[in-house]
Amino acid sequence: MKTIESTLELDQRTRAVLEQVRNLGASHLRPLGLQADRAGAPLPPDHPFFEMVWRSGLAGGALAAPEEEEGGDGAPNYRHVRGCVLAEEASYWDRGVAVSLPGPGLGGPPVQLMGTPAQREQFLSIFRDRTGPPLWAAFAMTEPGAGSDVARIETRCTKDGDHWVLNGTKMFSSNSKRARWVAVFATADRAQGRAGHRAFVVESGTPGFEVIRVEKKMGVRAYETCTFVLQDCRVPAGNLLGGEEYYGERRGFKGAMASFNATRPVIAANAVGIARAAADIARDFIHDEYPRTGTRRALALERMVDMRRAIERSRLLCLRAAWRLDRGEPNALESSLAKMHAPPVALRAVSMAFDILGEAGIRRDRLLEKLYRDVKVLDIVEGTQQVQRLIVARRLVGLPSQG
Amino acid sequence: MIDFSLTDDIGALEAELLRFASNQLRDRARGFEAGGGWDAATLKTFRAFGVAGVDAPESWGGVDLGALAKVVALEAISRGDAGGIVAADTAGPATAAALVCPDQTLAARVVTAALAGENRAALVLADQADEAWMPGSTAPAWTWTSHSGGLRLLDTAGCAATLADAGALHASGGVAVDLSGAETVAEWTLDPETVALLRGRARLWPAAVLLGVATASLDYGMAYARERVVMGIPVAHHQGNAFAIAEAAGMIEAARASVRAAAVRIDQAMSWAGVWATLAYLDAVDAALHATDLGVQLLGGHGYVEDHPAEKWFREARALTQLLGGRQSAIADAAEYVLDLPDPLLA
Repeated sequence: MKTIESTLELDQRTRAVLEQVRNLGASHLRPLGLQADRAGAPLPPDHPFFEMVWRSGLAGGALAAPEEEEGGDGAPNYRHVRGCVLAEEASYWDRGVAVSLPGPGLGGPPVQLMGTPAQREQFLSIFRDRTGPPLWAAFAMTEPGAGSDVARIETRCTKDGDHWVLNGTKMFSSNSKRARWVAVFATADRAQGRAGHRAFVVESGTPGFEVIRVEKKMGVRAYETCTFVLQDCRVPAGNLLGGEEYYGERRGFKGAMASFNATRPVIAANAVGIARAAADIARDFIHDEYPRTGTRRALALERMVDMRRAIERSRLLCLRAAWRLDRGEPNALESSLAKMHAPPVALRAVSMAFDILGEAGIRRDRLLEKLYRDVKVLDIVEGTQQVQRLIVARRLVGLPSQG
Repeated sequence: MIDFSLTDDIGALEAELLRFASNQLRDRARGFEAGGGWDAATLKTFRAFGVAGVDAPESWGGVDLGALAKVVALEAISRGDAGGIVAADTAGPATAAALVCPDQTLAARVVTAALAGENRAALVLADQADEAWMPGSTAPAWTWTSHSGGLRLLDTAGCAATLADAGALHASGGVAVDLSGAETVAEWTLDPETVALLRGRARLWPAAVLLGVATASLDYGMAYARERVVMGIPVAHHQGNAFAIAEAAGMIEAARASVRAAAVRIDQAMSWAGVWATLAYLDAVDAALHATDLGVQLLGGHGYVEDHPAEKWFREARALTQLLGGRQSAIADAAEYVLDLPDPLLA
């Protein structure tokens, strides 16, 4: 019997971590983000900031759902809700630096969702020990010929004794150059389509694994976006996530989709954070620079009304998708709705802030202009808004999947 | 921690009202529109649910389940017939004024009489209004008027009421009431946050009804578009339509989240919850206008004729968005506070 009212308040634990992220954001994330943007280069892995943040215990948790113990008595522990709240806040300060933080990053969800208990222990426990140097992990799905259409990935995996041999190219993989391991999706048999998908943990230093390119991006320059090749890369059979028995009934593909259900709300929350940052810039500018009355002010306030409500409804979509996941309820539709909605809202919010600032948007400092460049990537990664519309339409009206 | 689930009480009420809407309202909505309202038996069933007073204190004859229960209930019913609920809910958005009225004895008298079916209370959100649209065929006994500095209660029992000749909401028995001769019973000054609460809470009423209309229209349009084949494939499978459906579904889901969140924040007495309710109302307006437009569009010519309900939802959504001052009034209210409005989650 549920008699406790719905609530939209954060618990004390989340508030405490949120405060830490807020402080870190003001002191480091935003300044370092601007610095990396000006330099046009990612923060190097030996930057003292990473060691500081690694020791503080914050790293990783600010980007994606942190790995935590399950709640007692079968109660949800709200780690995905918490992950969204923290991802939003980190992104408010700087999304690029937030992604560059050490931790499992987007590599965490596939290991968490598809891995055996032993694999989870092997690959995720290393992030609990904060006495050593900072550690990263990464995720790799996209290929030169398969972006949104993940069913068409071509990276091959072939069983050879007690190893799998991987061959292919992965691109747009965040932090993989510095990662201790990368969660890589491949296909055992392209003819089987999605049923042929397999997911592996490829550890750094494995012969045949080589990062060949770090992208030059228009925004979010603080982290590395990498292309790597797998050439006769031999991976121990034990690194096949979930073990071979897991891959009946297209579970490899379903595992990838399950990962997206966890990560899409986080990316959408990143967009909410950037939109908030833009709204705050616009608010301050109106306060400081606009006349106290008149048409110009009224029009700006109307834009602020649009911005504030769009930001809040996007946030609610993210939190609702994450909340359903925390409760073990299906959330594929909600995740896609959040991802479909929030990034375009954020781009519009930044654009509206530009309108409010006028020329000052490019004259004062590069923050707002940087936000405009940074936010655009969120409408692309983890499936564009167009892909989300396809997914939503498939679920609502049975839009057939092509191929 | 954040929890979007409904209590068992509210969840059960929603399920009952969805059945009521589906079994007793939906297929008879045309008849209600032609007849100018719900019939006596339908009204009796409706009253048994206690929806009109679901957000009013028990001592006033209400159920005291709060603003969230009210918006959930209104949305469920409006999936069946939005026209009739406007008149059937005799307390309606006016409860928002009563709840903040400094004279709670007088407020109780007004709401108790409305919930008992003895008379009706209305609310006008305007600084000065000589005439106002109201449901129910006759002038209400009491009319609250909210203005920027406070609240006024008018005795409007003797005011002239002329049948509104609008093209929608016929089942509400909508009338234009001449307020110019109404006698002021009492007047109160309210602080800005309380005024915002009153106005925002009142706006959740049409917001919830709009969500019901939007959902009904989109569901109907999707069902049609799955079956109807054009150029060799179902209408819904043409990408232009598929994307539009996804967009409308997203807008409705987001607006529902906003409206329910605003209601929760009101129930939990969060500061400036009224402004967030006004913002949520705007989300519901946008979603409903978008979805009911698409609802007609998906049916093509069939959407424009009375063989299908899409045209009714299209008309109703537009009319509902005019109530309580409409969109521009809401934007103006929100704009007053938007610069310093604290973040509802992080503040």
